[in-house]
Amino acid sequence: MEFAFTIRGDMDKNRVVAICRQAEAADFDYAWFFDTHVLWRDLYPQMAVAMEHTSKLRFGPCVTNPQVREWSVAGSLFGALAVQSDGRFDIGVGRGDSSVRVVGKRPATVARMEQFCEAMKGLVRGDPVTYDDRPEPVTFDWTGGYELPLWVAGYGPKALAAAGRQGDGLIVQLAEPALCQWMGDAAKTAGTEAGRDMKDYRVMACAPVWVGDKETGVAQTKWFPALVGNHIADILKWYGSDTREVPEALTAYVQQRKGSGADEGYDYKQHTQMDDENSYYVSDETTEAFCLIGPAEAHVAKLRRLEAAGVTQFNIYLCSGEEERQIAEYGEHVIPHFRQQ
Amino acid sequence: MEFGIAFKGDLDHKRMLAISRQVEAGGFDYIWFFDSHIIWSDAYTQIAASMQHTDRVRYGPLVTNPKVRDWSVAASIFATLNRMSGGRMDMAIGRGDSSMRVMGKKPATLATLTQSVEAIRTMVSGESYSYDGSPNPVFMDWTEGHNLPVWIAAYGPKALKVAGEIGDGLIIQLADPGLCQWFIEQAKAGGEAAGRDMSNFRVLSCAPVWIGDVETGVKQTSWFPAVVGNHVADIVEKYGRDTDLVPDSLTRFIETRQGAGADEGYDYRKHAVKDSDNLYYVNNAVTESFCIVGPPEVHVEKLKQLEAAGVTQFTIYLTQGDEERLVAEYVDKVIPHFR
Repeated sequence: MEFAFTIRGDMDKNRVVAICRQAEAADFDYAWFFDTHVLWRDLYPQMAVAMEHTSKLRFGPCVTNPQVREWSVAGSLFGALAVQSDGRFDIGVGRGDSSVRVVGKRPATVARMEQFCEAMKGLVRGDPVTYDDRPEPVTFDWTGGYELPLWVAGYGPKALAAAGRQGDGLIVQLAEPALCQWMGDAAKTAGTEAGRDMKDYRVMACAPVWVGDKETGVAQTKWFPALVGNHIADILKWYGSDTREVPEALTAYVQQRKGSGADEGYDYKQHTQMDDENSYYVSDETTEAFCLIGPAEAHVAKLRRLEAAGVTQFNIYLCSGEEERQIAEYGEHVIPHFRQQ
Repeated sequence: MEFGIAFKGDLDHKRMLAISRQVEAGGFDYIWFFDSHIIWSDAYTQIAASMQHTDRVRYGPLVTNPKVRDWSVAASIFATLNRMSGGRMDMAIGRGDSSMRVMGKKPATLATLTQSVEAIRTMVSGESYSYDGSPNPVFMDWTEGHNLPVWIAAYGPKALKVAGEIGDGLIIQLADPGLCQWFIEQAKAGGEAAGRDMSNFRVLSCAPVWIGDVETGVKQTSWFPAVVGNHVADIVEKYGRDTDLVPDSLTRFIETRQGAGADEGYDYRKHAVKDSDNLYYVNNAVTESFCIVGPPEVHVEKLKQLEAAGVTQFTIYLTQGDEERLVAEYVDKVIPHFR
């Protein structure tokens, strides 16, 4: 099992650097950054800085999308960071959520997201790439032929299939083992159908964590199911709540939530904020199911179940308070259980 | 006189960082990066990395343009780099040359340039801004109200007027004192006509340099007039050879050059590359007048002339070989004459 954390861009720069150093020393594998340039600061300069202070940790956006940057601009950023870090750079790609909704735009279609994935891999490899209405192909001759590891975020059947076809890995934005299994299997099936060898396919589960008592943990992390709810509600709207394409656990979750979804008044300015007003409709059971909460042993036990469900990387959304302590607890009490194979 | 350097963005990463430290220790004021994301690697991640190794020098792209990034994306980058560096970020912007043309696109209009400056300044200052590219107003509540210094790159009469009207400074991409003076007067007249106090208006002249013998220097820097020629030819074309809008020396430069301009086959893949095939039409006299070439005394003398013409910052295009040596020579033998 690989371990990772994700930084939200409103953290002080020196603290970001310190946490990256701490996490590298604690044997974490990846530092991811949310890519939402209006709500928080641009993540790529922050990543460039953190790279200067680490030597092993890998970096990437979790997640970027096809809508926010012109594709050659996005590809140049990714190529530059791959070169600057000596090959320690991946990307996570989704259809676009907060970064596009906050400026009033719509997420990309799954088809466009797939084209974006192909274009990014090609550009960073140094291939001539033609996209959209470009009259001439774009070629970067300075990337050293870097093979960009690419992860795709998805919840719904179509996005999961795209992840299986295009990705080196799938990003599942919740840490519920049965749902992770369902999503991972859906992606792998699509990949196999497309003729790919899915034996080394990677599956990342991400969620906030709280090592400590449950009550505090739920209070600190319940912003997360509210955020996930927007994505899931979208899927149910498309696929209906009684088809077999979507597992019952997801349907049940959306049916018991109350409040406004992405298109009904969810306030993106409070996206991922603890104590935000978007979170009032989440039950404690859902929060516990989607996040990791409790003493260190509870984390180890749940991570074992995630591992058994096919998860290969666990990614902590590091914005629920006491960030340095959570990293230290994982470094001392959780990660070692997964290193003594 | 302030001093700056500009990185092209193709130096080895660790070497770029070492030169950044050398430049700051040597008393330079600015480190700029070319912003041409296809030909070279992204400028902003390199700026972020370099900032980690300096405390005092200021940074900026030389130059960005209004068409390459959505304005909220651009503003977020500038505001982020400004916060990370403790307030050391400027922006220099032009209509878009290599980064646009290499994709087969045209430069932006001056109207678009003007609006993009207003948009980026407003967003970086932490105020809400609405524009066509974004259905909702964009509001970044985390920028700490930075007042972003904006420099405008210009050659032609209309662009120079805009630079005077809206810029904190003007970028002139050549180091000929007579031409600089002609450009500066137009920008300042534009600003004054718009009712601005131009007494603190800044003027940056940039060019490659070579300290050493003239023959080698001309060889090392002759790529530069080829770059500039594309811009100048546009202007001569637009405003005519026989009007008093364009000085004779520019017209003569265009007449003496042979070969392909921007719209006639100039190869942007070899933009600013030493020994590129784009250079064959540049004569030595033009190279000497646009660049600074020769022993240190020649540099000091020419920089004094530039200062007298109204230039307030000289920026070295650091892309002609012997980069560390040239920085060291400036530190030892040139900059002290201006302190």
